[in-house]
Amino acid sequence: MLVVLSLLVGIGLGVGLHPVVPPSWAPYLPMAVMAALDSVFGGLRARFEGTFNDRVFVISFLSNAILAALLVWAGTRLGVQEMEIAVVVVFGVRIFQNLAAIRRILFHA
Amino acid sequence: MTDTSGGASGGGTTPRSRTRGQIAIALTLALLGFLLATQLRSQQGLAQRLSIERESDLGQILTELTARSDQLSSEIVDLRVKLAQATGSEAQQRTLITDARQQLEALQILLGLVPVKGPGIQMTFEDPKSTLGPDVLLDTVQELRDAGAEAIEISGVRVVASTAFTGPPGAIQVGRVAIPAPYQVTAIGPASTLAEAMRIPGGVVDSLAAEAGTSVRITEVSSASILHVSALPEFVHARPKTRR
Repeated sequence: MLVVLSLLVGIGLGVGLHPVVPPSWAPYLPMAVMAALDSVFGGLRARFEGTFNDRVFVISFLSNAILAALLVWAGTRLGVQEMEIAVVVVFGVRIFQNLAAIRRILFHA
Repeated sequence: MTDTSGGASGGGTTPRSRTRGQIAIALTLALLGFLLATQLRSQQGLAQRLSIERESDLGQILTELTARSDQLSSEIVDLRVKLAQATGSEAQQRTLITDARQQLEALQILLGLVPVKGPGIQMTFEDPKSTLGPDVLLDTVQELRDAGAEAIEISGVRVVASTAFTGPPGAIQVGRVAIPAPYQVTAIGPASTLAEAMRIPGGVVDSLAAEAGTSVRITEVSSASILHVSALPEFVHARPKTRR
């Protein structure tokens, strides 16, 4: 209940305030979002497995998001143009794994 | 989510730390929602699209934008030229209008269509015995015009190009209007020149002095008014030979 509510509040803020993303930040925000989504699904999985810890969740959420953005930023600085793909693949795989684990717990399949 | 997670977070869990954990989770998820909404929204902008386009696509976009920019630049030049032309023709038109207005004013005065005022002379011809014929008035008008009179009125009748002087002495008609003696003549023009023209030897004053019982009085005025106007003549027969 609290989760859904706070998620809706966040979306409402994002839509209502419509913040302007500086063009220089544009490549990094989607990476942070990917990492954040991974953390959320990881937290959901931990919740179903009974190993959820709010400290771990909050810290992994923030650190994953910031690290993902930093990694892509460092990649462009180092001349690795397609660093986004690495991030997308890594977090994409992890999101799928988490979702698969959740599916197994929920449906036993 | 609240109770089970509390059990999983290890020992020493108090209701207070649980609440704090929930607040942290709520804030984190609100941040997620905020990030999601921001990102989804920003994806609609061109700058964000550009940052994920391939190099060749970017090159193509650049080419298109350059072409568009060139096109707009040449459009600006065209419009500047047009603006200059329009300004030029406007000035030309203004001159034409000024000329036409001056011409109209001159013609209006010449045809006696508007009241006029200015320096000039006023004359009164006394003719108690009805000896003066229309030729005297005609001569007077001729002399006045020769001396530079620009507008003339005789006893309330504006003298224009088509004005005729007819009738026997004592029943003179000016422009088909009978006017009784004494005849009042107002002329607008260089006052002293007009007065002098009247008094030259053999002129109007001279010839009237020869007639018994007549007299003429001449006054120079700095501001005479001719208020009577004549109707715009309608030409039935005469037509301009060339039409502009």
